[in-house]
Amino acid sequence: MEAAFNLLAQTQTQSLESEDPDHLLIRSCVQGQTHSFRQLYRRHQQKVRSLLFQLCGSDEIDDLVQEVFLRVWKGLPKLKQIDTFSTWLYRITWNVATDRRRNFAKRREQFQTIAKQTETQQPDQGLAHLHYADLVHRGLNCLSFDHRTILVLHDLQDIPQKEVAEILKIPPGTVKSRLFHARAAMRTYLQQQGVYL
Amino acid sequence: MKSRPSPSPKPENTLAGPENQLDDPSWLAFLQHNQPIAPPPHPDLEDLILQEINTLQISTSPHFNWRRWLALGILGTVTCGSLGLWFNNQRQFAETSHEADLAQLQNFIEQSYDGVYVSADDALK
Repeated sequence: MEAAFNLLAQTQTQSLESEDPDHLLIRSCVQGQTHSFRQLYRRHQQKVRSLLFQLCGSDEIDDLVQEVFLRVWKGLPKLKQIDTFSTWLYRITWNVATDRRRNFAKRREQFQTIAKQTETQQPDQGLAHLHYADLVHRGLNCLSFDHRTILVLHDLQDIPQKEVAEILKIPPGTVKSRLFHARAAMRTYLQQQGVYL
Repeated sequence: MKSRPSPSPKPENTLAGPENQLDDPSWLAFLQHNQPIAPPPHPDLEDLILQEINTLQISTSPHFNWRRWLALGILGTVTCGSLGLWFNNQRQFAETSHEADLAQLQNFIEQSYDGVYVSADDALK
């Protein structure tokens, strides 16, 4: 009897230890624990920030990050499948980026002109790397928003095609097709800049 | 003049056409190595977000969805009313039909009885 009890306790401990830390944090957040949300923010803010930057540029990026995490906080009680949190978070980020693109397209274009000028004036810390990073950034800006989204999610954020399809709510075949065209356009741009892969 | 990005591509991938570029390791390595890095956040951003969230504290608890309950209330009232009307109609119909049946039966018995009585008298004669 005691052995069975110990085995049960051990199994429960193992399941708690093996559980995704996000799950515990999400459950805690749903109960209103803001300190858990702080941890959740720290775990995911970098990838959210990176995705927003690659989709929208650096203009008002802090506001966009804030908007994403406010939507996350409001939506967490409605999140039924905790396992899909990462996909859900990417979906919210993409929604925020899309909304922002629609609302502030003109302002962004103006900022990008300034940003391009400032980015090329960055200090000397691996000039070649900065050069290629700048080319990739410009190449992304040359793509349509759909193609840029696919390329960023799949090739830069390293998200599998199936999950990209779930994030964007499009068929996997469409993801594959858009990825093909996005890569072709990006490759063409890089070749025009003298980069051959 | 063509420049070489880091990591240096393999010779067989040089000038690879789009049809050969799906999941090309050197392509992915180049993009991931040179992906644009977001600028650092404002030092107070985290605290600002947490402050905002504290003002939204109520939204984390399961909130009372008044629209849903209003719709359910209306639906329930309409259903109960309909059932009540239907039941009342059925009862009235049953009562009226019962009275009509009784009157018809009584009428039939009286007529039948008169017929039997008359025919018996005729037989005795």
